[in-house]
Amino acid sequence: MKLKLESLEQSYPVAQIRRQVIDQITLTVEEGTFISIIGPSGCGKSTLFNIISGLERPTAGRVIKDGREITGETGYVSYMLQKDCLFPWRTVLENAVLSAEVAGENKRKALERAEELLSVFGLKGYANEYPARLSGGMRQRAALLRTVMANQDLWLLDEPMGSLDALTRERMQDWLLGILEQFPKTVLFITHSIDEAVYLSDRVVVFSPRPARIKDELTIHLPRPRKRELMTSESFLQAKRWLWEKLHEEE
Amino acid sequence: MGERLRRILPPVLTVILFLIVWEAGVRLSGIEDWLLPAPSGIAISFAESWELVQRHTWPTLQEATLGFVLGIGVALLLAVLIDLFPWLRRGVYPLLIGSQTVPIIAIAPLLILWFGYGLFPKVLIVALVTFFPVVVNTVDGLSSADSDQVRLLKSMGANDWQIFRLVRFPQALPSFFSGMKIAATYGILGAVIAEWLGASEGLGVFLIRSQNSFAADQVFVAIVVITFWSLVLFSLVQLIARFATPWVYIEKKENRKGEKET
Ligand SMILES: Nc1ncnc2c1ncn2[C@@H]1O[C@H](COP(=O)(O)OP(=O)(O)OP(=O)(O)O)[C@@H](O)[C@H]1O
Ligand SMILES: [Mg+2]
Repeated sequence: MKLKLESLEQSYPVAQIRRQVIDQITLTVEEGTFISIIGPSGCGKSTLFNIISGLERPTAGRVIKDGREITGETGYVSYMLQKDCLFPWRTVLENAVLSAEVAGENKRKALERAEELLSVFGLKGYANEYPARLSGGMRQRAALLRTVMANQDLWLLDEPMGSLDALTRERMQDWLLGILEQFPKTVLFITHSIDEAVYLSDRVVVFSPRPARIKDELTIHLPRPRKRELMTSESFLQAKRWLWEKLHEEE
Repeated sequence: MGERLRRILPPVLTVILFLIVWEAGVRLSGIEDWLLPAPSGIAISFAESWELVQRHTWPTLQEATLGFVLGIGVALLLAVLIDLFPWLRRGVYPLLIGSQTVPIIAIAPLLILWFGYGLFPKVLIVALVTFFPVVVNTVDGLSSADSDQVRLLKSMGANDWQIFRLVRFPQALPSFFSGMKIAATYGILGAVIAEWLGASEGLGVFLIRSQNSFAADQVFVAIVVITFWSLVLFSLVQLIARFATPWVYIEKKENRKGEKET
């Protein structure tokens, strides 16, 4: 078991009262699985990632990774925030080696490793460009390269494709699946797109409106490697319908 | 290249037109030379007093550059300290802002009184005028770091020093340089004012002497020289900024491109 969330709770003091954002979230994640999280806007999805990454401490509950408690501790996951957060003063390559620098690794070696990966990430020839010169898709890929370079086996991706147009988004999905075949990881993935969730995931978890609870979850049995043709198959459509109904049903 | 020419040409033409009108105005009206000399008269005076002006320029430049470097160095150091220590921000920063209203020209006599007529008090005065815009801009820049960028670094396990070095400092550099550009325009001026209060050489001295001998043409010569060197200092800072923060200029260029397309 890669990751275990035990009865996580989070609330913030807001004008005399406590605003509950995360409510009793318990989840176990097996090594190498891709889990998508869908839920209404503002329900607490990013907050959950903040807790897992150690940026925030939950008011109750525990985060356990590889059998060790890491609640409130940073540096154990590779977190791609909702914004791409590329540093505008760093070139693509320099952005990619950020985590290596933080970890105090040899920067030159990290740069070499990142350079080798550039073509895999469709950034060949852009090593020394500043983010301002990149298109939306390229920025996303550069941010993912940085995520890969962090050398963590657990990734938290918060709507990594949210800002892309439909066509680029589909291409990026296939590309991400390819990347994951090359670098097998355990992935938690937040998205607002049911299609995307079904297409990419092994499991899809549905969150309730705030405070976020796990309303239900669905295991996706589609074969891997995933192909676009699957999207019109009966089982794909069934999964979509089921998730859509879960997401929209009244409490 | 064509675009650059189109940007530069209008102001150049304006200046030329202005000079022509000035020249014609002086000649037609027959105004006294010691009141308002014609541009041609100023040019002649410039050529005649070339060596004298040179002799007075170097001390001023020396005071200005030394003071500039000192002011900026101290400003940068103080800005970083203010950013690192919250109690400094609370205790010192407001005073710093408030003290900007104290006119340097009023403090200058005090410095002359304490340190005499040598180089040091003049360097100090220049340092004082260049110090403020840099410290204020840099403190602002340091404290406006993007919180998500900081969070990203934290999630990687970064400590406070790494967050400072990898995010806060680099993202404050553009503000630091805009403060430095303002400071650059003050530098020479500060030295000139310092010289007014007591010196035996320098452009300030040259100015006062020209005024005392009713030589308006020489006053204009001094104005031209002061403007020229202020521009040189400014351009130098601009050059360093371009070299040290290339992304700022790339972003500007991309934005302009984007505007054109839409
Ligand atoms: N520090 C905080 N103090 C008070 N309220 C907070 C704080 N952090 C988050 N919240 C609240 O928690 C709720 C959930 O926020 P969160 O960003 O996790 O939502 P989300 O599910 O990621 O939304 P979206 O889909 O729009 O990204 C929001 O209503 C937000 O206002
Ligand atoms: Mg969110």
